[in-house]
Amino acid sequence: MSETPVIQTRGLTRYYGRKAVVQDLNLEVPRGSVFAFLGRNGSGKTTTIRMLMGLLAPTRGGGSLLGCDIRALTPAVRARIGYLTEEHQLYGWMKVKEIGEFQSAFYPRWRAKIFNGVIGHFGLRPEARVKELSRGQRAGLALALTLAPDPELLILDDPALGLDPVARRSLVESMIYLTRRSDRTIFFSSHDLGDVERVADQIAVLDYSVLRVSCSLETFRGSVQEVLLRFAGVPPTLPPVPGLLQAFRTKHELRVTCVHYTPETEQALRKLEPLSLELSPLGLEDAFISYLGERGEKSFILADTEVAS
Amino acid sequence: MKQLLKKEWREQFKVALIGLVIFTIVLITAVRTGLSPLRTLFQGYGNTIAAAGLQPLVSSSLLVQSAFFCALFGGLLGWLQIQAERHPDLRAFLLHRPMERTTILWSKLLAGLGLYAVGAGLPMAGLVIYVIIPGHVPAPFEWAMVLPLVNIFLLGLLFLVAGMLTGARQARWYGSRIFGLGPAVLTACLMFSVHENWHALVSLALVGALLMVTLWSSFQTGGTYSNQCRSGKVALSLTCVATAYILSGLVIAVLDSLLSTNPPYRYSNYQITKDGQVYQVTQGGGVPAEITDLNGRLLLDKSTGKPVKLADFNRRYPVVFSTGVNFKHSDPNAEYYGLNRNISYFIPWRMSDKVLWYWTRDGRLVGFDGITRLQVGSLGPDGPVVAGAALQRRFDPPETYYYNYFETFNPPRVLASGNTLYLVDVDHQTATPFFTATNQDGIGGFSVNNNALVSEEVLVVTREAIHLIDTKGRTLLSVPYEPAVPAYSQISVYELAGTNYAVEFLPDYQLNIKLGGKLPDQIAWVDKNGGLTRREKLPLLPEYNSDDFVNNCCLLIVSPAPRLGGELVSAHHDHEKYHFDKWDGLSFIPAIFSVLVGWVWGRRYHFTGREQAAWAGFNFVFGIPGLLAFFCVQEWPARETCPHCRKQRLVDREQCEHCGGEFAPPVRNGTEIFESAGAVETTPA
Amino acid sequence: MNLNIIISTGSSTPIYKQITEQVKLAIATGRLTVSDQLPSVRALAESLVLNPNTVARAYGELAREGLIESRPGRGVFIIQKRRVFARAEGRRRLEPLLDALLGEAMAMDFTPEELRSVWEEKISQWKPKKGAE
Repeated sequence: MSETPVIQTRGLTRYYGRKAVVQDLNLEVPRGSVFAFLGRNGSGKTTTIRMLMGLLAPTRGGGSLLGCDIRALTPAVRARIGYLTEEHQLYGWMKVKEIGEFQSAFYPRWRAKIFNGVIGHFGLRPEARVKELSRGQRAGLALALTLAPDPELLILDDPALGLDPVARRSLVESMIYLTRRSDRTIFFSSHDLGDVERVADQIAVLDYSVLRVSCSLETFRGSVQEVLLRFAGVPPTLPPVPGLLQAFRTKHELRVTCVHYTPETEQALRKLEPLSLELSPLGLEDAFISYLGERGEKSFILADTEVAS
Repeated sequence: MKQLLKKEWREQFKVALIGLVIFTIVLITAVRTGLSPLRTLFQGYGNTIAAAGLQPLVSSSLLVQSAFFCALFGGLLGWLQIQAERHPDLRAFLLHRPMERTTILWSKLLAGLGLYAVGAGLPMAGLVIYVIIPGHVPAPFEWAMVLPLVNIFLLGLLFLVAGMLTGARQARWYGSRIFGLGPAVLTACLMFSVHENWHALVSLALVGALLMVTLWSSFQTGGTYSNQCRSGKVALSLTCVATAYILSGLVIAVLDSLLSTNPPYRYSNYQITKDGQVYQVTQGGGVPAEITDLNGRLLLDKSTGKPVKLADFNRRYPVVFSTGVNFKHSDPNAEYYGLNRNISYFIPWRMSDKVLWYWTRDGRLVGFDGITRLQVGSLGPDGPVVAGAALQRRFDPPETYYYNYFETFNPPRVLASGNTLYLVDVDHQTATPFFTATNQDGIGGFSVNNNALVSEEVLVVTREAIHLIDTKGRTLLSVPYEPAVPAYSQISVYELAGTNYAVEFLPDYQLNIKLGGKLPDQIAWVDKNGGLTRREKLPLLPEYNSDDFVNNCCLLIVSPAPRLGGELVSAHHDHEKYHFDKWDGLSFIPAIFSVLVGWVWGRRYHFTGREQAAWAGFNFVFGIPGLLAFFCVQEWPARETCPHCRKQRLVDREQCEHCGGEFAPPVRNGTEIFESAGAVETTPA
Repeated sequence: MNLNIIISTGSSTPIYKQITEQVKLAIATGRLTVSDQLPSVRALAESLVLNPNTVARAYGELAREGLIESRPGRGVFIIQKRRVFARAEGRRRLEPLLDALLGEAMAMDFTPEELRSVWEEKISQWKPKKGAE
C-alpha cells in the first residue's frame, strides 16, 4: 500500500549568497513513522525545516506537507501540523495559563487535557510568567502548546537542545505517547543519538547540505561496519576501499570503518595480509560518528612518541 | 484574531502610555508658550504681542512639534510591533498557525492604530476640547482649524506603517531597511508645503495606500522580493525610489554647498531722506552697510568726514506711507503656505484696552478679552454683528505688514470693505465710512502710519490715482497712478520737509524677476501746492547673481519625468508658460544611462522580456535614484557553471538559461545508504 | 511478574536484541515460566521509553522462536516451548556462543577444570521446564 508521504521534497535547494546550504534534497517521510533528521551542526537541518514550514523561501525546488505545497501552506493544513523550534521562544510577558488561552483560540481541535497533562508532566505552575521559566520548563510549555491541537504531523527542530536529562526524558516520553495513534508522524532533528535510538524508526542524514542517508534505523546500523585488522609489524598503507569511512592506525592495528561491507571489500582488505581480520558491530552513536566524521586515515591528535615528553 | 489583538495591545500598551504622557507634556508646554505673551498684557508693558501661539490649533510651532512627535511615535510603535518577534523562532511561533498571514498583519495594524490613537489621539482630542471651551483661548475658533491636527495624526499613522515596514523587511544590508521611511518623510515635507488641507489629505491617502501594499507584500513573503506578487514589487520599488530621492536630495545639497562659489549675498535699495535726496543703501554679506548717492559717492558725515553708518542714516528717514496694490482682492498672502495656514482663518489686527481684535475670514472683526479670554465683541462694516447672523457687507482682509502682531499704536483704525474705507472704533464698536471710490475706480490698497503726528492720515491707491487723505475726508495729496499695475504695485508716499512729497513707485517683485530685473524704481516729486514737479527714473540696482551652474549640475540627478512634472506644476501655479531649457534636455542623459545600466544588468541575470521592459520604464522615469532602488530591491542569485554547456547559470532556475539542462545532482561519494520507505510496521495493541 | 529489562543505548547490540536476550535469560533462569504474562507492546514501550515498533520486533522474534504467544483480547504469554529448531540447527546456533565463551576463558587462563565447575554451577541454576523431554 503506497500512500503519499506526509513530507516530500523534490530538489529542495537553498543558497545563502554563493554557498549552497541545502542541495537538491529529495526526502520522503512516510505516514506513521518516527523520522530522525540527523547531521552535524550547520549542515542545513534547521534551514530545511524552515523551508518545509513555509518560513523560508527555497532557492530552487519544492516540496509538500500533507499533500500541500510548502510555498503555499493553507491555514487548514497548518492546523494539522505542530512545529516546535530549537529555542522554544515564547512571549516572555505572558503567563503559562495565558499563553494556553491565547493558543487555544486558534485551534478548533484544542485538547485542554493534553495541554494540562504535559504542563503537569513538566511541573509548570499556571501562574508562572514565561520569562521566569527555566529552559527545560519552557521546552515543556512549548511542547504542550504544540501537542494540544492534536496534530497529525509533528515537526521538531532539535527539541532537546540544552535540556537537562529529566526534561529530555519527559520530551521523549511525550513523543512516544504521540505514537499511540498510527496515523501520527513525527519528524525531528536531534544530536542526542541515545534518544534517536530509542524512539526513531527511520533516519536521514544530511552531510553538509547533501542527503546521503535515508533508510530505517536498523539498515543504517547494519550498513556501517567496523573491521579490525591486526598486523605483526607496522600496518601498511590502506588502498582505496569502496565505501571507506575512516581508518584508525595504531602500532600494530588498523581499524577500518566502512559502509556496505561486501565480499569485494573483504577481498581488498585481505590483500594487505593481516594476521587477523575481525568484524565488530557498532552502536548507533559510533556508527553515526564514523559516518559523519572526517573521512580518511587518522590517528590521535599527537603521535605516540610526542606524548612521553 | 481577537486573541492577536489582545496580545498586541498588551505587549505595547506601555509604549502607548509613555507616548501619551510625553505628547501631553509637549502640547501643554507649546500651549503655555503660545499663550505666554498674554502675561505681558497683564503686566502692562510692551506695545504688542505675538499672535502666533494664541490659537494653538494653528500655531506653527505647535504643529511642527506635533508632527515630529507623531512621526517618531508612530514609526517607533510600528517598528516595535514587528521587533516583538525579531527572534526567528518567535516569528515562526507567530506565523505558524491556522490563519492567513494577511489576517495576522491586520491584527497588528488594528492594534497599532488603537495604541497610536491612545498615545497621539487622546492628547490631541484633549487639546481641541481645551480650545473649544470658552475662556481658554483668546482667538477665533472654527472647526476647519482641526484639520491640520487631523493631517498630522494621519501622518503619524503613515509612519506607523513605515515603521513596520522598516522592521519587516529582510535586507542584505541593514541600511536598506530604512527604505520604508522614504515615502513617509516625503509626505511630511509635502504636507507642510501644499496649499489646501485637502491636498494634504489626498497625498496622505495615496502614500498610505502605497505603504500598505508594500508592507502587506513584504509580510507575506517574509521580506524577500522575488516571490512577491506584482503589485507588491511595484509598491516596494516605488517606496525605495522615494527614499533614494531623499538621499539624492541630501547629496545634492551637500555637493552644492561644497562646490558652489556663491558670492556673499548683498542687496541694495533706494532710500529718500527728509531733505528730498535719494540714496542707495547696500547691505548684507557680513560687512557694514554702504550708503552712496546717485553719483556713486559715499555719503560722509559732515562733522567727522567718515561714512555715515546705517543706524545714523535711519534718523534721516521721513514719515512714509507704504502699501502694495492689488485689485483682485484675493487672499493677500496667497503665496504663503505652511501647515498652519492661519492666514486663511484669521489675521490679528489691533489690540485696544487689553482686548485683542482679529479679522476673521467671514469678514468681521472679533474681539477677545486678553485677561478673561472670552469673546467680547463682533463687528462688521454695518456695526455690531449678532452671533450667527449673516453679514451684509464684509471687511476686506487688512493690509498689515506683520501678520503675526497686533498693532497697538494710536493710529486711526482703518479697514476697507469693497470701495469704501471705514474708520473703525473697536471700543465703541462703530465703523464710520470716510472715503468711497467709484466702481470703476476701486480701492487697490491703503495704509496708515503709526506715527502719532500723522495718525489721521491715510494713503489710498485707486485705479486712477494715489491719494493721501485724512479720516475726515480732506485730501492732502493726489497724483495720477502712473506707472500702474501690474508693473508697479508697491507705492510709498514720503512726507518731506516743507510739506513736499515724494511718491515712490516700486516694480512688482515677481514680475521684475521674470523680466530680468529691467524695471527701474520711479519717483514722482510733488511740491507743497500738490503739483507734480517732475518724474524721475532711478538707475537699475545691481543684481545678485548666484552660482547656478553647480546647482544645475547637481540637479541633473533628478530625471526628466519628475523634473518636468515639477516645472509644469510650478508654471501652472505661477500662471506662466513653461519653457524647456537646456538643463531639462541634459537631464535625459542620466535617465538614459540608468536605463542602459539596468538593461545590461538585467541581461546578465536573464530577466524576462517583461521584466526588462518594466525596469527600463522605471529607470527612465526615475533616473539615478531609480537605478539605486533597482539594485536595492532586486535579488541577485548566485551563478554556477552548468554541467552541460559549461556556461554560468543562475542557481534559482530549474533549467539552465542557455541549454535547458537540469542541475547535476550532488556528487556521490560511495557512502550513500538509501532505502525506499516501505510500509511501517503497525504496532499490535 | 519478575521481569526487569534494562536497556542501554549506544551499545553494539540493537535494542530489540537486548530485549529478546533478557527475556530469554529470564526464561532460562526461571524468573519467567510458562503462562506468565508479559506486558503489552505498548505498555513495555512506554515503560522502557522506546518506540513500540522496537518492542514489537522483539516480541515478533520471540514468537518466531516459539517462546511467547499473543492471545487476542488477553495479552502476551510465555508458552511451552515448541521445538522450533531441529537439534542440529540448535547446535549450530549454540556453537558461536560456546566458541566465544571458550575464547574468553582461555584468554583469562581458565583451566578446563575451572571452566567446568563454573559451568556446573550455572547449569544447576537452570530450572528445567515442566514437561521438558
